[in-house]
Amino acid sequence: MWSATDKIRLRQAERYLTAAKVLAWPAFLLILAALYMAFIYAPRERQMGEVQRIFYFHIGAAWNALGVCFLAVFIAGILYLWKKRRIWDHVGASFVEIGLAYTTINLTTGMFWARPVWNTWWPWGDPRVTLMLVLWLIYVAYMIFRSTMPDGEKKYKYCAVFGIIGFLDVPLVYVSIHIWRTIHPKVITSEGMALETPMIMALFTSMAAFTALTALLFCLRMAMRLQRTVVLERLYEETV
Amino acid sequence: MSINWYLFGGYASVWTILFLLLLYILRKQRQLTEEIRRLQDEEE
Repeated sequence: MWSATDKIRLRQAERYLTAAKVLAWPAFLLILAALYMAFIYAPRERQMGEVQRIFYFHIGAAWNALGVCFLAVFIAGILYLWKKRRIWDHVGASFVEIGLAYTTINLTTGMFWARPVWNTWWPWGDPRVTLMLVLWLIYVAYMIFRSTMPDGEKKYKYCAVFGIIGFLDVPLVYVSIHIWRTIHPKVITSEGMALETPMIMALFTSMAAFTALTALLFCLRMAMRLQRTVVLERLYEETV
Repeated sequence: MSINWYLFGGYASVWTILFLLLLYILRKQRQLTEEIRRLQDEEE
Protein backbone atom coordinates (compact mmCIF):
# COMPACT_ATOMS: atom_id res chain seq x y z
CA MET A 1 0.00 0.00 0.00
CA TRP A 2 1.14 3.53 -0.72
CA SER A 3 1.55 5.43 2.51
CA ALA A 4 -0.11 8.81 3.06
CA THR A 5 3.35 10.47 2.93
CA ASP A 6 4.07 8.78 -0.42
CA LYS A 7 0.79 10.06 -1.83
CA ILE A 8 1.52 13.61 -0.63
CA ARG A 9 5.01 13.48 -2.17
CA LEU A 10 3.69 12.19 -5.50
CA ARG A 11 1.01 14.87 -5.54
CA GLN A 12 3.65 17.53 -4.85
CA ALA A 13 5.79 16.10 -7.65
CA GLU A 14 2.82 16.32 -10.03
CA ARG A 15 2.36 19.96 -9.07
CA TYR A 16 6.00 20.73 -9.79
CA LEU A 17 5.73 19.00 -13.17
CA THR A 18 2.64 21.05 -14.05
CA ALA A 19 4.48 24.23 -13.02
CA ALA A 20 7.42 23.20 -15.23
CA LYS A 21 5.08 22.71 -18.21
CA VAL A 22 3.56 26.16 -17.60
CA LEU A 23 7.02 27.74 -17.37
CA ALA A 24 8.45 26.03 -20.47
CA TRP A 25 6.95 28.42 -23.05
CA PRO A 26 7.69 31.73 -21.27
CA ALA A 27 11.26 30.53 -20.66
CA PHE A 28 11.70 29.56 -24.32
CA LEU A 29 10.27 32.87 -25.57
CA LEU A 30 12.38 34.87 -23.14
CA ILE A 31 15.51 33.05 -24.32
CA LEU A 32 14.65 33.90 -27.94
CA ALA A 33 14.07 37.53 -26.90
CA ALA A 34 17.40 37.57 -25.01
CA LEU A 35 19.23 36.25 -28.09
CA TYR A 36 17.57 38.89 -30.28
CA MET A 37 18.48 41.63 -27.79
CA ALA A 38 22.08 40.43 -27.41
CA PHE A 39 22.84 39.92 -31.10
CA ILE A 40 20.63 42.43 -32.96
CA TYR A 41 19.18 45.05 -30.62
CA ALA A 42 22.27 45.85 -28.56
CA PRO A 43 24.84 47.98 -30.41
CA ARG A 44 28.36 46.80 -31.23
CA GLU A 45 30.79 47.82 -28.51
CA ARG A 46 33.39 50.24 -29.85
CA GLN A 47 36.59 48.81 -28.34
CA MET A 48 35.92 45.09 -27.88
CA GLY A 49 33.72 44.58 -30.94
CA GLU A 50 31.48 41.56 -31.42
CA VAL A 51 33.01 39.50 -28.62
CA GLN A 52 31.48 41.88 -26.05
CA ARG A 53 28.09 40.26 -26.80
CA ILE A 54 29.18 37.32 -24.61
CA PHE A 55 28.75 39.73 -21.69
CA TYR A 56 24.91 39.52 -21.67
CA PHE A 57 24.79 35.77 -21.02
CA HIS A 58 27.92 35.89 -18.86
CA ILE A 59 26.22 38.26 -16.41
CA GLY A 60 22.84 36.50 -16.78
CA ALA A 61 24.49 33.27 -15.63
CA ALA A 62 26.38 35.02 -12.80
CA TRP A 63 23.18 36.66 -11.55
CA ASN A 64 21.35 33.34 -11.49
CA ALA A 65 24.20 31.44 -9.85
CA LEU A 66 24.98 33.99 -7.14
CA GLY A 67 21.83 36.03 -6.69
CA VAL A 68 19.25 33.28 -7.17
CA CYS A 69 20.62 29.74 -6.76
CA PHE A 70 23.30 30.02 -4.08
CA LEU A 71 21.23 32.53 -2.11
CA ALA A 72 18.37 30.01 -2.22
CA VAL A 73 20.78 27.26 -1.02
CA PHE A 74 21.77 29.52 1.89
CA ILE A 75 18.14 30.26 2.84
CA ALA A 76 17.12 26.61 2.40
CA GLY A 77 20.03 25.57 4.66
CA ILE A 78 18.89 27.92 7.42
CA LEU A 79 15.28 26.78 7.04
CA TYR A 80 16.31 23.11 7.18
CA LEU A 81 18.31 23.62 10.39
CA TRP A 82 15.42 25.56 11.87
CA LYS A 83 12.37 23.55 10.76
CA LYS A 84 14.03 20.13 10.15
CA ARG A 85 11.78 19.52 7.16
CA ARG A 86 13.14 17.35 4.34
CA ILE A 87 11.67 19.60 1.66
CA TRP A 88 14.30 22.28 2.45
CA ASP A 89 17.05 19.76 1.80
CA HIS A 90 15.46 19.02 -1.59
CA VAL A 91 15.30 22.76 -2.34
CA GLY A 92 18.95 23.30 -1.37
CA ALA A 93 20.28 20.32 -3.32
CA SER A 94 18.26 21.27 -6.43
CA PHE A 95 19.54 24.83 -6.41
CA VAL A 96 23.16 23.71 -5.93
CA GLU A 97 23.01 21.68 -9.16
CA ILE A 98 21.44 24.51 -11.16
CA GLY A 99 23.79 27.09 -9.63
CA LEU A 100 26.76 24.94 -10.48
CA ALA A 101 25.67 24.77 -14.13
CA TYR A 102 25.38 28.57 -14.21
CA THR A 103 28.77 29.02 -12.54
CA THR A 104 30.28 26.74 -15.21
CA ILE A 105 28.60 28.85 -17.92
CA ASN A 106 29.90 32.02 -16.28
CA LEU A 107 33.46 30.70 -16.15
CA THR A 108 33.52 29.32 -19.71
CA THR A 109 31.95 32.42 -21.28
CA GLY A 110 34.44 34.51 -19.28
CA MET A 111 37.31 32.50 -20.74
CA PHE A 112 36.09 32.97 -24.31
CA TRP A 113 35.79 36.71 -23.67
CA ALA A 114 39.15 37.01 -21.86
CA ARG A 115 41.25 35.46 -24.65
CA PRO A 116 40.75 38.24 -27.24
CA VAL A 117 40.34 41.07 -24.69
CA TRP A 118 42.99 40.24 -22.04
CA ASN A 119 45.10 38.04 -24.30
CA THR A 120 44.84 35.12 -21.88
CA TRP A 121 42.31 32.35 -21.29
CA TRP A 122 42.66 32.57 -17.52
CA PRO A 123 44.01 35.59 -15.59
CA TRP A 124 45.19 34.03 -12.30
CA GLY A 125 45.96 37.42 -10.83
CA ASP A 126 42.33 38.59 -11.06
CA PRO A 127 40.59 38.21 -7.66
CA ARG A 128 37.06 37.92 -9.06
CA VAL A 129 37.93 35.15 -11.51
CA THR A 130 39.86 33.24 -8.85
CA LEU A 131 37.10 33.64 -6.24
CA MET A 132 34.51 32.50 -8.77
CA LEU A 133 36.59 29.39 -9.39
CA VAL A 134 36.79 28.84 -5.60
CA LEU A 135 32.98 29.16 -5.48
CA TRP A 136 32.65 26.56 -8.25
CA LEU A 137 35.00 24.22 -6.33
CA ILE A 138 33.03 24.72 -3.08
CA TYR A 139 29.79 23.57 -4.70
CA VAL A 140 31.50 20.73 -6.59
CA ALA A 141 32.75 19.61 -3.16
CA TYR A 142 29.16 19.91 -1.88
CA MET A 143 27.97 17.58 -4.66
CA ILE A 144 30.74 15.05 -4.00
CA PHE A 145 30.10 15.20 -0.25
CA ARG A 146 26.37 14.73 -0.83
CA SER A 147 26.82 11.75 -3.12
CA THR A 148 29.15 9.95 -0.69
CA MET A 149 26.94 10.26 2.42
CA PRO A 150 24.09 7.80 3.07
CA ASP A 151 20.58 9.31 3.16
CA GLY A 152 19.50 10.48 6.59
CA GLU A 153 19.19 13.36 9.03
CA LYS A 154 22.98 13.64 9.41
CA LYS A 155 23.53 14.08 5.67
CA TYR A 156 20.83 16.75 5.33
CA LYS A 157 22.18 18.65 8.35
CA TYR A 158 25.78 18.63 7.08
CA CYS A 159 24.66 19.66 3.59
CA ALA A 160 22.66 22.56 5.05
CA VAL A 161 25.73 23.73 7.00
CA PHE A 162 27.90 23.28 3.88
CA GLY A 163 25.48 25.40 1.84
CA ILE A 164 25.45 28.15 4.47
CA ILE A 165 29.26 28.30 4.81
CA GLY A 166 29.77 28.02 1.03
CA PHE A 167 27.62 31.11 0.53
CA LEU A 168 30.21 33.24 2.37
CA ASP A 169 32.22 33.34 -0.88
CA VAL A 170 29.31 34.95 -2.79
CA PRO A 171 29.50 38.49 -1.30
CA LEU A 172 33.28 38.21 -1.57
CA VAL A 173 33.01 37.55 -5.33
CA TYR A 174 30.81 40.63 -5.66
CA VAL A 175 32.98 43.06 -3.69
CA SER A 176 36.32 41.65 -4.90
CA ILE A 177 36.61 44.08 -7.83
CA HIS A 178 35.98 47.05 -5.55
CA ILE A 179 38.39 46.19 -2.73
CA TRP A 180 41.33 44.64 -4.63
CA ARG A 181 43.40 45.68 -7.62
CA THR A 182 41.83 44.04 -10.66
CA ILE A 183 41.54 44.23 -14.42
CA HIS A 184 37.92 43.01 -14.31
CA PRO A 185 35.49 45.55 -15.88
CA LYS A 186 33.40 47.45 -13.33
CA VAL A 187 29.96 47.56 -14.92
CA ILE A 188 27.98 48.49 -11.80
CA THR A 189 29.49 51.46 -9.98
CA SER A 190 28.24 53.90 -7.33
CA GLU A 191 27.16 56.19 -10.18
CA GLY A 192 25.00 53.53 -11.83
CA MET A 193 25.60 51.20 -14.77
CA ALA A 194 28.40 52.07 -17.17
CA LEU A 195 26.41 50.92 -20.22
CA GLU A 196 24.28 52.33 -23.03
CA THR A 197 20.50 52.00 -22.51
CA PRO A 198 20.01 49.30 -25.24
CA MET A 199 22.84 47.31 -23.64
CA ILE A 200 21.18 47.56 -20.21
CA MET A 201 17.90 46.35 -21.75
CA ALA A 202 19.65 43.41 -23.42
CA LEU A 203 21.31 42.56 -20.12
CA PHE A 204 18.04 42.61 -18.18
CA THR A 205 16.32 40.48 -20.82
CA SER A 206 19.01 37.81 -20.59
CA MET A 207 18.85 37.93 -16.78
CA ALA A 208 15.06 37.47 -16.95
CA ALA A 209 15.42 34.62 -19.48
CA PHE A 210 17.89 32.75 -17.30
CA THR A 211 15.72 33.36 -14.21
CA ALA A 212 12.73 31.79 -15.99
CA LEU A 213 14.96 28.88 -16.99
CA THR A 214 16.11 28.53 -13.38
CA ALA A 215 12.48 28.31 -12.22
CA LEU A 216 11.77 25.67 -14.89
CA LEU A 217 14.84 23.57 -14.01
CA PHE A 218 14.08 23.90 -10.31
CA CYS A 219 10.52 22.58 -10.77
CA LEU A 220 11.78 19.62 -12.82
CA ARG A 221 14.50 18.83 -10.29
CA MET A 222 12.12 19.07 -7.33
CA ALA A 223 9.62 16.73 -9.00
CA MET A 224 12.46 14.29 -9.59
CA ARG A 225 13.72 14.46 -6.02
CA LEU A 226 10.26 13.85 -4.57
CA GLN A 227 9.62 10.91 -6.91
CA ARG A 228 13.08 9.50 -6.19
CA THR A 229 12.44 9.58 -2.43
CA VAL A 230 9.22 7.58 -2.91
CA VAL A 231 10.85 5.04 -5.25
CA LEU A 232 13.89 4.54 -2.99
CA GLU A 233 11.74 4.02 0.09
CA ARG A 234 9.52 1.50 -1.75
CA LEU A 235 12.52 -0.43 -3.07
CA TYR A 236 14.05 -0.42 0.41
CA GLU A 237 10.82 -1.84 1.87
CA GLU A 238 10.79 -4.53 -0.83
CA THR A 239 14.30 -5.69 0.00
CA VAL A 240 13.91 -5.64 3.83
CA MET B 1 30.79 38.35 -42.98
CA SER B 2 33.43 36.67 -40.86
CA ILE B 3 32.60 34.56 -37.81
CA ASN B 4 33.94 35.67 -34.45
CA TRP B 5 35.02 32.29 -33.08
CA TYR B 6 35.37 33.54 -29.51
CA LEU B 7 31.76 34.75 -29.55
CA PHE B 8 30.70 31.48 -31.17
CA GLY B 9 32.64 29.45 -28.58
CA GLY B 10 31.17 31.44 -25.71
CA TYR B 11 27.58 30.87 -26.81
CA ALA B 12 28.24 27.26 -27.81
CA SER B 13 29.45 26.58 -24.26
CA VAL B 14 26.28 28.17 -22.82
CA TRP B 15 23.95 26.00 -24.90
CA THR B 16 26.01 22.83 -24.52
CA ILE B 17 25.95 23.05 -20.70
CA LEU B 18 22.25 23.91 -20.56
CA PHE B 19 21.31 21.26 -23.09
CA LEU B 20 23.24 18.55 -21.23
CA LEU B 21 21.67 19.56 -17.92
CA LEU B 22 18.17 19.54 -19.39
CA LEU B 23 18.78 16.23 -21.14
CA TYR B 24 20.03 14.66 -17.90
CA ILE B 25 17.04 15.94 -15.91
CA LEU B 26 14.45 14.88 -18.49
CA ARG B 27 15.98 11.42 -18.90
CA LYS B 28 16.11 10.80 -15.14
CA GLN B 29 12.60 12.18 -14.75
CA ARG B 30 11.23 9.78 -17.36
CA GLN B 31 12.97 6.82 -15.67
CA LEU B 32 11.44 7.76 -12.32
CA THR B 33 7.95 8.20 -13.79
CA GLU B 34 8.22 4.74 -15.36
CA GLU B 35 9.45 3.25 -12.08
CA ILE B 36 6.53 4.77 -10.16
CA ARG B 37 4.09 3.47 -12.78
CA ARG B 38 5.62 0.01 -12.41
CA LEU B 39 5.27 0.14 -8.62
CA GLN B 40 1.67 1.32 -8.94
CA ASP B 41 0.87 -1.51 -11.38
CA GLU B 42 2.40 -4.05 -8.99
CA GLU B 43 0.23 -2.61 -6.22
CA GLU B 44 -2.94 -3.11 -8.26
